[in-house]
Amino acid sequence: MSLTKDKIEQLAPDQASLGAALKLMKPASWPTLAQDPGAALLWGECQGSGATPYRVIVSPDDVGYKCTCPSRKFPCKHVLAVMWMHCDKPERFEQGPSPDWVQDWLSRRRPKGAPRPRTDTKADIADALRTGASIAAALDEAVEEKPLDPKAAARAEAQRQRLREEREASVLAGLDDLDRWISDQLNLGLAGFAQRAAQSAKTLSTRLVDAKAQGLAGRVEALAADIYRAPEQMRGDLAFERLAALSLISSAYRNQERLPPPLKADVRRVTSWSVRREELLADSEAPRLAGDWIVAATRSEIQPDKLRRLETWLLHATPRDAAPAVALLIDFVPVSGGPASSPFIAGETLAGEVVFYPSATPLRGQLATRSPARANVDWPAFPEGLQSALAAYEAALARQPWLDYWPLGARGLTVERLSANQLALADAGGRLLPLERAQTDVLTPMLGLKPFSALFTWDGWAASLLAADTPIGRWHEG
Amino acid sequence: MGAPLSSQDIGRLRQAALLGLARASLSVPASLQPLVAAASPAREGVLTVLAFAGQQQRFQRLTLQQAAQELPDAARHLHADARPIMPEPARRALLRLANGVEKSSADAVLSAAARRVVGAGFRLHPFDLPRLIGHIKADARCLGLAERAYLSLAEHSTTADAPGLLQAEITPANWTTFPKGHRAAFLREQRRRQPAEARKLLEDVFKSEPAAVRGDLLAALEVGLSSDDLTWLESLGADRAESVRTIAAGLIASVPGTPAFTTRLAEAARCFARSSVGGILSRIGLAGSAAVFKPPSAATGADRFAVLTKLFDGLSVAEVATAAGLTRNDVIAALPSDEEAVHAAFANRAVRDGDNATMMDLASARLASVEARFWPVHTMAWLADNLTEPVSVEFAKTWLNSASLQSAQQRFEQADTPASLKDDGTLVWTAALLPAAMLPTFISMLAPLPPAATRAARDFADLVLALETPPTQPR
Repeated sequence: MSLTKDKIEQLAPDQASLGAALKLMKPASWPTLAQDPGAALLWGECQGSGATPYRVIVSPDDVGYKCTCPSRKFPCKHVLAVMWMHCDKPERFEQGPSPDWVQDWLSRRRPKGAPRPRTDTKADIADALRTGASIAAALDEAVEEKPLDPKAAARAEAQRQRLREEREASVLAGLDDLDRWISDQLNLGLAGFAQRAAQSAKTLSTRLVDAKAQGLAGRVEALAADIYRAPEQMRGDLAFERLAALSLISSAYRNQERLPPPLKADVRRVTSWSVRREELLADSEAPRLAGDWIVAATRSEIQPDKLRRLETWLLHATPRDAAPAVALLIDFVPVSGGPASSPFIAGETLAGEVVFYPSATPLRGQLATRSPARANVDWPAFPEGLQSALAAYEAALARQPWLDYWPLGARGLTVERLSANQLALADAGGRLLPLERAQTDVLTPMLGLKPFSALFTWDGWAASLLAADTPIGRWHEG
Repeated sequence: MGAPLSSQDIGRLRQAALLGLARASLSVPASLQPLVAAASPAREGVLTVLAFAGQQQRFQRLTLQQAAQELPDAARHLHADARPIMPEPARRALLRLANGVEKSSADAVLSAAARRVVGAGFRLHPFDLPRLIGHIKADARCLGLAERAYLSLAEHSTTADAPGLLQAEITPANWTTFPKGHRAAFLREQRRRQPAEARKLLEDVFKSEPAAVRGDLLAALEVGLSSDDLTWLESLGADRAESVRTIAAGLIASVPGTPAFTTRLAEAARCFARSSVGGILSRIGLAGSAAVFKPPSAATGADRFAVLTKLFDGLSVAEVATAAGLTRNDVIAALPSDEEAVHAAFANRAVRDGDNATMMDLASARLASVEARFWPVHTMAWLADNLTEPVSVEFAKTWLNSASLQSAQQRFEQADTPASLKDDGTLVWTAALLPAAMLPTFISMLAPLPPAATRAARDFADLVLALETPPTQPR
């Protein structure tokens, strides 16, 4: 083993990285920290600001490393933290066989002794020019971080309060704009809404961003695309329902003090106010669910605001009641950072605790702890047919009236063809739910399969299959 | 609590919203009038009505009032294929290969991979067909019942277009129901085994086929061509399509034993002759009488390629060797590597006959040439596309030790730009060609090379090895 603090200092791209690494050395930040028996490989999972942990691998012998975080610094603070912890507290590293994602990296990396591409020359020069990032200095800086004095703390709190009030006023003004815009659309008529939606919604969305109602701005901006995606004969109805939902959100926000706390949390989050991961994990009231999870699906979508939205859908392997227990982890990464995907592989399993954001319909969450799942994680038992699934959707819609979509599970389903370009989920009772047209190609092989069990989202218009347990194996989106 | 709005209320509100409230006034249902009256400003009342109506509509629209179509026949056949689905580790390797292979060669590489799967007795996983079918659909050798059924489903072709797509296998009884490409391939295969019966199959349906189909099917008779075919081929001189008459004339000229063929073969054989080398080597007894290639005098200048193509068209290495009094190896050794027309003629004939040994010998000769050291890809790709089985262990050993492959390894070891790190095909085609027994050696050769260059080759190798491994627990 050749990792020393000197070597870590040489590797660190700058002093700030060492300082950041030091802050990451709390055990709570590392749900997984392990090494193989000879300590030839170290790996860990660090819970960053995203919903999914970053995966870090270090090969101490040749100081090779890999981290899934989007940092442009090499090595990043996560890699430095793993190296540093291994120097200082090797006992924190459990011993065991390396998981698949470590093996995968190992099998694909440039072997020891192989020449590095000349593209690294600049990095080598930068290495040579580095001027002494120091662990001692990082420790000193950490010690120097003294608590604020009470007066300063009070001033800071007052400042935060003033900003909150300003933001509330700004959001309310944004809601006035929204109401006025919806009224205008109603006056003009929704039959022609699809033609003017893109420009009109874009203008309003910009104003909502200025009013600090980013959540609503995103909904409004997505409106035009959603309506274009719908079949032409349904666009009027879709616009009618979507504008009704926006109006409902606006009204609910103005009257939020009369709402039950979970629904109040929903309307604040959907409008403007986000909850930080640390706040969520510290919230003892937030719903939690631990156990084995199947990564049912991963999705990646570029949003109009140039952020890539990475969704990871987790399905609890043993739900407490008949309805599926599903958690949705969402990460946002800048598109400019290049291709990115969920760190999870659809179909893999894990054990852990998910903390859900307070909501009348808890779905989005954060992974608080993480460990390997049991060897064989079975697909959960869903209720037969679509009727109880639709009842679950109806109940969720009643709890949260502006619900976009809701995950449902059912068994005894087949895929049927509605038209040349559209498939549907069907049950033995003849109930049909049309599937997203975008999934027609990938789901065509399910035509003719014997009944299977499926997890899908339903928004009242179309189902979107997330995963299925079929007689010829599991199907996962992603 | 009952719904505040009736279906008629919602219908009226929806109609007004679609037309525009500036034109159609909003008639507020009685149940909502108190809420609207209390609203201030007035637009809030309208929005309240909208919110109620929109939300109630969401609850009322939960089931679909539309019947599903009858299950297409193709869907039933997609899952009725008797071949087992490929093992899961092989499936993962194939998907990795599909995601990692260079786009420019994806069709050829994935078709080769699919042929390995089919050759091992498996079929592709139905869930992977949407990802793969675009790459492999042009290669009938990759398409079993399940793949053909999926194609039929995905392309919405009806059984009336090509009912044979849904047959378990193509046979003399049903071959006319298959698409043209499948029929031509079937006819060639039949010709290799029973040339006369295969010709009879074609004769029976020939007149009822359109000209384009007649031409393509007739061309398949080049396999196993003999004087038995002459009578019928000569009768096609009266076919109504000029293209068919031309193909028939070409075939007649290639029938062994005819005067035209014999004359051409003799002329081709004269291009290969033993030459006794003079000079000092001869005097000390070291000069053998190696065969050399000397093209006919007419093959000069710009016409050289065309003359040699016409002369050697349809001739096999063995036929030329026999006529020249040489061995196959003599002829191949004498042929210069840059003599494209003759190489192409011999290669086409070897492919037509399914003659793997000659294909490998021709490829060996080309791969040993100086030019191939820097650009062996075309030869490798050609071999992989045409061999009906992996190369022999001897060929594999020779190739793994060859200067060409070592040169490619050096290139990748020294690669210093993203472009030079890309596999030009040398590695992935090597993986595609090697027998499973030689793949571990090849994988160990890849170990020191940059992963970016070797990824597709490793995935191909993993696929082949996984196909060889018996499944631990059958589904």
